[in-house]
Amino acid sequence: MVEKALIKARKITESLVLAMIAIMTLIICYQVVSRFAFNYTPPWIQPLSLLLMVWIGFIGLAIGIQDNTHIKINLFVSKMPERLQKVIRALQRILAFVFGVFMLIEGSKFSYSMKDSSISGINTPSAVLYVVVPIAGLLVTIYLLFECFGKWKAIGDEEVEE
Amino acid sequence: MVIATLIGLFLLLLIIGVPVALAMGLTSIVVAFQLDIPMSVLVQRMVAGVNSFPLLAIPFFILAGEIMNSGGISQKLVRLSDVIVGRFRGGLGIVNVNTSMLFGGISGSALADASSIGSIMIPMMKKKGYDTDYSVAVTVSGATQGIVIPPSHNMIIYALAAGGGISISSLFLAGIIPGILLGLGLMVTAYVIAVKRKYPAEKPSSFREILKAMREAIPGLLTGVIIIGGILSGIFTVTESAAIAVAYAFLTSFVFNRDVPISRIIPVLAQTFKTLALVLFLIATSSGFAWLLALLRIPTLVSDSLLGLTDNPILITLFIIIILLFLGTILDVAPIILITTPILLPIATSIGMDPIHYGIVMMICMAIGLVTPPVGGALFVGSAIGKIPVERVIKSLLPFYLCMIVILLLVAFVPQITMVVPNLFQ
Repeated sequence: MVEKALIKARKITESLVLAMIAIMTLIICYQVVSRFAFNYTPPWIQPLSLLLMVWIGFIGLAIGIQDNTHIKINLFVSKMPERLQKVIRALQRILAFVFGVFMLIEGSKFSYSMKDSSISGINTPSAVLYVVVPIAGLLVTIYLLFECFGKWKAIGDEEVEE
Repeated sequence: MVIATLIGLFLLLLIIGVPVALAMGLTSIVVAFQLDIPMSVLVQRMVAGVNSFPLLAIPFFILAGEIMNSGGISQKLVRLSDVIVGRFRGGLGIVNVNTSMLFGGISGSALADASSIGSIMIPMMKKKGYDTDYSVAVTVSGATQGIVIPPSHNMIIYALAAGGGISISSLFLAGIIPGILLGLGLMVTAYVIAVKRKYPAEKPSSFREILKAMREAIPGLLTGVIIIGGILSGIFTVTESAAIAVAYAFLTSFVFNRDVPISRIIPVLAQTFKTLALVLFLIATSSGFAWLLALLRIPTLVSDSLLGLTDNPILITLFIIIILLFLGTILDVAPIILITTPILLPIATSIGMDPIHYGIVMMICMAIGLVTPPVGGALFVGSAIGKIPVERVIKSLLPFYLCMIVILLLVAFVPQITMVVPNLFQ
């Protein structure tokens, strides 16, 4: 049950992000066309595309932590004894969890404090930009908790290079 | 004390295999805590790092490269290189490097280059009797050109790490001659070894075949022309040109090319997202990290103590190069750029190096790092495709390392090589 829900939630998040990349490309192309054809640069394009990129980036980092695919140095750990490696791997995941908690708590606080300021050009509260930080924190913490109970498996762990 | 925590904790986290971006994030949290800096500043810094318009070009460059790749651009470039340089002895080796040069003018990702060109060229070379170690060595060293030849998204990362103020289009222009020089050097190296090992030449192509190969490859090559031309003429910003390149690549590879179904765009987007997520995470946390470095005046401390030892510009340049090459053996490109630029760039400029020149020297160091063990992305991709142990590739890579080092020193100590093109367009 839980595994299915986790996988499903992941699929939905991923599709949303892919759509965001596509939209981001389309609106920048539209900006170029609009500038040439109508000599007009719509003011909403730049802030909207940046908003999308921040969202893509933070959701992406959360997914990267879930899968344990971020760039790291394996060199030293892979030379250590098997048992120590296990301890270190657990420690790595705990540290990732701590970072998730940081994003969740501090991100929520900061987003809340930004609820009254707004992003120029798209008339949206700045909180919409920052709220992706606690969302990423949530995505990290939930999945790491379930990984701890064996309900989620990070793909990056298996393909450890020599 | 705080400085000791920052450096010590960061190194410790790296050694125990914590992802680089996460290590920067966690270190920043601890240091900010020690300094009594509100955590909200870190959150804001992280978001601000990603929230930058020039950075938008990065997803587009990655996406354009991925689209061209899935549209079969590599085969066409191989074919074009084959009809032009295949006729020399060891033809396929030269074809391989030349294809990478053309590919670098479109995509700029050395890893994508190594995997897509390697999967075509390595089996092809094996079949014609080339040794596998040579085939892999040529492929991976050739692939590194992508990082120096524009467009290169690593140059954008460098421009951002340098704190803005560096024109990305000048950087792109500056990469042209050093990139071509690197390619020519590698081709000569490939040729000399091929003569020694008595590798065959391909049969010369007829004029008609050359025309046909050109006609097929030109739509792909135009992507590079659009990007560089658009930026040069000032019609587009870097970001816009990258987005237009995506639209163009999509039209030529998917819409006007019936062989590739449009649904293939989904895995292409997914692959782009995967690469992008790694880069953006690094940029987010390094933005907070670099801010703390500056706050603690670490760049000034390092440069003061170094300049206290010697003020000989040649020694200092060599020192910087050695640090970059060393880091290149254990770390990936983007993290090195983001971590070292705030510290090493001020040293470089203090001995009179132009930031653009320094950027290109750094890119060549990074190119070498991609093919040096224990951590060399391109090297591992190539060995995996050739199904050959890394150690055997390294042995045949030695002449190529030598060639790359010579080019690196040439570019580092003759600034004109780098600066002539950007100065022309100033």
